[in-house]
Amino acid sequence: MSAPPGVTGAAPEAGQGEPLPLVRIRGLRKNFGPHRVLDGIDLDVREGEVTVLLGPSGSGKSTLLRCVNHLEKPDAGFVEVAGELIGYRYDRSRNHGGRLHELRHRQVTRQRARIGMVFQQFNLFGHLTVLENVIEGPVAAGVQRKQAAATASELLDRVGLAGREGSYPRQMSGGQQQRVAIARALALRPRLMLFDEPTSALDPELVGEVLSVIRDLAASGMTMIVVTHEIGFAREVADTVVFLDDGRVVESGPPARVLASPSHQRARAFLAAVL
Amino acid sequence: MSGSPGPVAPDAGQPPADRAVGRPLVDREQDGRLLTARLVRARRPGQWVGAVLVLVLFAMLVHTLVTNERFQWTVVGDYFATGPIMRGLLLTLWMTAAVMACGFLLGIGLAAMRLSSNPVLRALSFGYVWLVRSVPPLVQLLFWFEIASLYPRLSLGIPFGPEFVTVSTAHLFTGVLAAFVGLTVDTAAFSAEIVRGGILSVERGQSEAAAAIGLGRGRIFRRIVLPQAMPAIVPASGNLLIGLLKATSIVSVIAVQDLLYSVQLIYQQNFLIMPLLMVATLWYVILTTVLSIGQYFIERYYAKGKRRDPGPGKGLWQITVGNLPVFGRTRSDLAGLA
Repeated sequence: MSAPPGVTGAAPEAGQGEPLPLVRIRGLRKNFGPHRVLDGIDLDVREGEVTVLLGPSGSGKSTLLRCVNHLEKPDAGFVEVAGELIGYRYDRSRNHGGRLHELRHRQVTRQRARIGMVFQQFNLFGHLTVLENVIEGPVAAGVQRKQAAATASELLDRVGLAGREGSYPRQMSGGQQQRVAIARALALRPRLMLFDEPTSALDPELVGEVLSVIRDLAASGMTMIVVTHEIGFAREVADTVVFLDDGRVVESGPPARVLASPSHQRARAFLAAVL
Repeated sequence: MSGSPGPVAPDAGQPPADRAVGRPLVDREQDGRLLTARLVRARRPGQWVGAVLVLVLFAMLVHTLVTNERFQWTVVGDYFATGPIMRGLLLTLWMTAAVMACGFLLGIGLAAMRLSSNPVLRALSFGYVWLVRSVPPLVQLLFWFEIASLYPRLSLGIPFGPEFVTVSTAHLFTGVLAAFVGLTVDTAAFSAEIVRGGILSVERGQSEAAAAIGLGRGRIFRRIVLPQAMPAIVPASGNLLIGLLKATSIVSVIAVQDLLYSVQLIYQQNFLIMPLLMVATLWYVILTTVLSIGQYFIERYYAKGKRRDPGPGKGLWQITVGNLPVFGRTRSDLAGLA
């Protein structure tokens, strides 16, 4: 990875009263083989805001999300969360334009612990009970088991699953599993939550219960980036809707404008198809 | 269904218009009879013929075991738990345990190498498995036993540098060590493939989710991937272990006094070949039975979270009984139909 041109210009934006956005993505590129999945993404997410990523399948939404917690290594560009470069350390002491050093696994692990992620396929640990699923992260981070369990019970209550601590994931419906997954992500008290199509693997009648948990989370002021196909949800909850196509941001703004009168032709076609 | 006329029969002659009024397709009385009708199973004469045939063959086997005096069961009894046999049995047991433990640890390492991102380690692991699997264990055993002819002296030191300790290979590689090394090398290759298969059976999303909640690489492997790979690893490993238990008998060719060789030493003197082979056979059967039962419980342990219903699973006895045709599903199981 070469030093992207945007890096050195990072500091000045912080001035003039306006707080630095919690998430800053600049010039993000990602290739899978010859296929360019992300082609220079710039994106800001301010603290407490909900950003919904829309776009046709293969447009790079999930890859973008996975770059934010470094499950995918970007080929160029950078992601910054809470002022911290994700996956790299910038070395300004050198005089030839500085260098980016890849962080060691342990440091990436520490960064990830502050970013919650919820997957399309839930990815709960099947051999662990609901409680064990939720406390695994905090316990690994050094929290006392007892304390982690108490927090976990509170979180399970919050997602409407009080008393299900002893169940195994396979004994639950998809909607319940996804709510456990949300509790598991929240257990690390993240500053940012990433949702990768959280309702796409659910039966239609189970979508509502998961969306309502996410909605409550948004109302509580959690900063979130959500990839979804639920346009109604986007309209209601999103502060910003970002429309991706072919690895580029083609449209971005408040849902009222982007969803009602998209200026980009691809966005118009997509919305016409899904609405 | 016997004794009940076809359900549509009473309606057959009615004009279709009659149904439109809302008359049920079949009258209540007919439904009631249908619901309480006795179930008559389909006859399968082939099954009976097959069962009788097999039972007759089995009876013949038992008969000959009991009546053929040349088995000399009293001799079997006399030698069954004597000193030399027990010493041989002990060697077979600890050899199996030591080889399995070391071979499996090595196998986990080889599997990790094979799945690593380092191409040199990957190639090395692949080459090891390829080579070892290509050579018959008996040949390997002889090779290690004769290793002194290739390397008369072994020394410990800095590669291409000074040596600290030097030993004579012939002294070091006794029959027991050659057997241990040869079998361990072989077991490592096979367990590496078993472990690799198990790890690959755990979907990628599990490690990703674990990474996303901030688990380190070691913890992901220990806490998340390995436990979920175990259901795939245990049955194959049980198979490997039982195979190994019996494969230890090949050490008799290099005069290691395991169970089989102890038996051979005795029958070479008294020529009671068959009864003494039966002694060894019975011990192998007993050990294999114990291992199989152990495997069952380990499998049940790792199956937690696999079942949908939280109730207790079927026990060993219930499964056995359920699989015997004589105790198979009875009419009472079907009572729910009525």
